[in-house]
Amino acid sequence: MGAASDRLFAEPGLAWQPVSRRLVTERRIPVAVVGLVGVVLLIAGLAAGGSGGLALAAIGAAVVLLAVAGWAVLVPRWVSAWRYAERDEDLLVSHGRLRRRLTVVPYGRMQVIEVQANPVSRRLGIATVTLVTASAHTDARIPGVAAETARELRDRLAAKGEALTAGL
Amino acid sequence: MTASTRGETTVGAVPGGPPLRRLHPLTPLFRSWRLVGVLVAVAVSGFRDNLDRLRWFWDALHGDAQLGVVAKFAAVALAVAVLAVVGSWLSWRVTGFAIVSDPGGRATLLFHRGLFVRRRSQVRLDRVQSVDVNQPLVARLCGLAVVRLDMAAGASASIDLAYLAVREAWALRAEILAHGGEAPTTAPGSPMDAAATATPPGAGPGSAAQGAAVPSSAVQVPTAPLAAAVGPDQGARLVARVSLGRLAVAALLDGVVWWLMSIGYFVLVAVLTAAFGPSVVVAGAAGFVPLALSFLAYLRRRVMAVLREANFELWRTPSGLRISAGLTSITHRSVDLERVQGLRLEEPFWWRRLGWARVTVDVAGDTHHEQHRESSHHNALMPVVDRAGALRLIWDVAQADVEHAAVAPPGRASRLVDPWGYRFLGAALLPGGALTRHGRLRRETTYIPYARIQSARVTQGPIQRVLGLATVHLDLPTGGHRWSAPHRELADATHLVEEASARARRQRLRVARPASTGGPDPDAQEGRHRAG
Repeated sequence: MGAASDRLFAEPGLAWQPVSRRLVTERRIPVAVVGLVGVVLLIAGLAAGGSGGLALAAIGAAVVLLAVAGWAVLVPRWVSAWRYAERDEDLLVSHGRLRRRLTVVPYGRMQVIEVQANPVSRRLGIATVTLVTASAHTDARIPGVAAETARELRDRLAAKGEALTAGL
Repeated sequence: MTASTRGETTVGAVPGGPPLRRLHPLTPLFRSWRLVGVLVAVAVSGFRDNLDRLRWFWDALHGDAQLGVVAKFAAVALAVAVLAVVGSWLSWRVTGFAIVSDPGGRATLLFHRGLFVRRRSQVRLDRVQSVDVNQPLVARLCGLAVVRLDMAAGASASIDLAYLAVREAWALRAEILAHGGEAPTTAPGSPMDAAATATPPGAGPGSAAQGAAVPSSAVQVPTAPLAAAVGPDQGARLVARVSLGRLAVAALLDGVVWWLMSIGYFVLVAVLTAAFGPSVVVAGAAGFVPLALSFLAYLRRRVMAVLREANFELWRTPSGLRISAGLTSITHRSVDLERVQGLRLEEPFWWRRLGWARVTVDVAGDTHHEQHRESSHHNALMPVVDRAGALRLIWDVAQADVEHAAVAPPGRASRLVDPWGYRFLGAALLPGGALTRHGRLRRETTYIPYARIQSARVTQGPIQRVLGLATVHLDLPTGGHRWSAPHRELADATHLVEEASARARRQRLRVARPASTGGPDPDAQEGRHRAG
């Protein structure tokens, strides 16, 4: 079953592009913040002592554990599940670990190609490329594309879109 | 595109174009009527806080005291009313519209309005998705109507020409449709063409000739006086009419599960009360209040829907279909077959026993369901009809044989995920579009033309993954029906996505080649221009 699912969401024989590992760094930042909050709770709880303090410390420890799990396992796995492939007529975007998603966007349907980067992304040199069609349900977002690649991708997609554009 | 008109500050001749036409002279009265109504409402709500003041009026009216207060109030109200009327008269004076055409033969509607902030809209008529003639109650009594133009960009981009005399409104609609009919987006082999050639024999040769003649003559003389059509489209043929009684019965039966649930709840509370004494009633009542509220909301929605769909008439016109409906305010909507992006056959549980069905349609740029957000329903193409009639209608609009489609069942393991509804799940790829169906009690069969598909998606949750299933979605322009085929075998899911994408591409190429322009969406927005 697993292998068949893998074939569906990552068809072999296509040039699947992974997203940049730097996305892991970006997504680890909020996890680290949560972890720090956990550490603060833990220390405060221990310092306060008593049964209330111990409960607080336990909550803090749980938060820290979650954050560590997120840092070490969940975020890298989540990032490594993002991939995209350009075919002749359409772009495939696949992501998700627990709930897998594959989106097929024909170049002829692209209305807007957005390249976004927040300050952290810019510092890391990555960007998010989003393909917008007339449908709000189209789920074609590729985060963590290296800035240079994002530019090339945008230009390439725009050129292909121009050649194949159709009306609604 | 807008440079030639930007310099204009008064309503008058646009260089190279005809003079702007004014709206109906009664318009200012209607506009200010609303304003005065609002003011009265505000005043009343203000007075509600202080009932004593009402006594002042009572006393004053009986000549006892403080006549001055009444006089003052009357004076203020009169002044406000006069100001409102004068204001809207001034605004009416600078409001005007015109249809002009550039040398290329493309017709544009100019709409100038705004007293302080001047607004100028330019709408290319071949980008207009639909033209409706609406008659709100009061306007209807005075023989006035609103012409509404919908663009693909959604509700924010639609234009209301309010008010026009009914006769003029229909003529304007005919004129706009005539210009829109020559849109270069008309695709050979599209449903529209097929439907046009299959024009019912009952329509007669006269209407067929008109259908063909109007666009070409309109190209030659786009600025000519209003087209000859004076009433609702000439050559229109009544397809079906739904009586209010049947509509009401249908609405009642549609909600039968809801009724049963409510009754079941009451019975449960009653039985528990009998068994365990009245303390249960208190507990039951706590749940009763939200239930009753949601029930009332549901009832209101239902009644509104029935009122909206009362006197329902479906007409076949040379340019497509036209729907007239409404009890108090009448709406006339045109459905351009070329812009249909989805059809749905709905069969609620009890309707199936009676052989009834409902057909809803989703037209690009249609804003009606945005306006009537309280209604969960899409626009009814036919609120209730016998099943055969519904199937005929779907065939007529989209050339889709929904009944005899080879519907493929979902994966075998789907019964584990959806034991209740898996039996009726299914998807099929028809020659012109994709079909999916679901629903155990209320069956819904959704059909979308390949040409409208924006993107395709496959999703797989953790349980589906274990069972080797996946759900396929075909995405349509926003606001339309949702198309998804849940719990397909993996190979089947791949096939559905690839085949639907390939067919969508072929359709798209056929549509795109004859067209000289890109997507209508951005253009429609560019076409609107606002000058400060």
